[in-house]
Amino acid sequence: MIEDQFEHILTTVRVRIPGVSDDAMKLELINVLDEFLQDSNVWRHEKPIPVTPEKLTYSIVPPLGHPIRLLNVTSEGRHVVATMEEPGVLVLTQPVEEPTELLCEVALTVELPPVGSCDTYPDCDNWVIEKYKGVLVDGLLARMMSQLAKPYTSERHAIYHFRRFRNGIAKARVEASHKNLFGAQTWRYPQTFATRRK
Amino acid sequence: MAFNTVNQFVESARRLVQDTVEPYRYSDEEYIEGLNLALLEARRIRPDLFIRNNGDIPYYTDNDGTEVDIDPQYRVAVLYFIVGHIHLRDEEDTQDARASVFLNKFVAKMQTVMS
Repeated sequence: MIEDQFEHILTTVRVRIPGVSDDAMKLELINVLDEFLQDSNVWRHEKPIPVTPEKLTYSIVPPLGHPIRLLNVTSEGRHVVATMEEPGVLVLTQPVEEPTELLCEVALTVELPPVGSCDTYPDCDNWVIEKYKGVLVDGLLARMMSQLAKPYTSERHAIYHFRRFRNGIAKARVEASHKNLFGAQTWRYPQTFATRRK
Repeated sequence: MAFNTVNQFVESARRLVQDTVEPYRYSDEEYIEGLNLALLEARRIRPDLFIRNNGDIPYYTDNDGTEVDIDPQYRVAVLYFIVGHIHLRDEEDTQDARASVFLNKFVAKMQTVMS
């Protein structure tokens, strides 16, 4: 249950910062989750879209969340050039020659809940919260501690947790790009490559 | 028993002011005014406590069992404000220092853990 995952995060933070209100935590949790998903591309959705030669623009509506980035468009395994300047609107650079089906992969983020609604959690895939709850706890602690004039305000601890949060996002982004495959790409450029002069 | 209704706030404030024998020195309306002012001040200091109602501040008129819509962690702070506000009234039995103590206690409880 995704509610249990979110409740675990809130309980962890509740214990670590006395005086915090649940409503404020839930508000900031949405911001933390949004930043995490926007910067990591962890939450992805693949959608087949039927296309015709007459039309260049198609809308992408995932069942949950909101598209933020177009990751890949393929047709029968071949890459198709397309853009998504407005999130959720796929624009093909060239029309297709005959009616076919394109496979679009988009990165998603959470949608904002209605204003003032504090009793619901954002809709997101359960596994994202379960796998990265530690990162989300750090993000939430950082955001709560960076607020002004609160019992739990602490610039020092906010910086510490924010650093851990950003490191967690960076690791998540790499893991997502490797599809969670261990040892998928161990080679990298020599570290002096960027600064070495001929 | 949960400390969460208007009449519980008024009753507790009366005990701290030692105003428990009728005829009362301060009316119910004066205590409820203190409660409403406490919530106004809380909204200024801690807007995060009022997210649920889109920032609207609850207002109470009667000394009854209506629930006071404030986080349980900060109900004692609200009680201290009511007592401080009552003591601000210029009467023989009132000491300004005591009013200041309670009002400062309210602010401290809202903004610090160790208070």
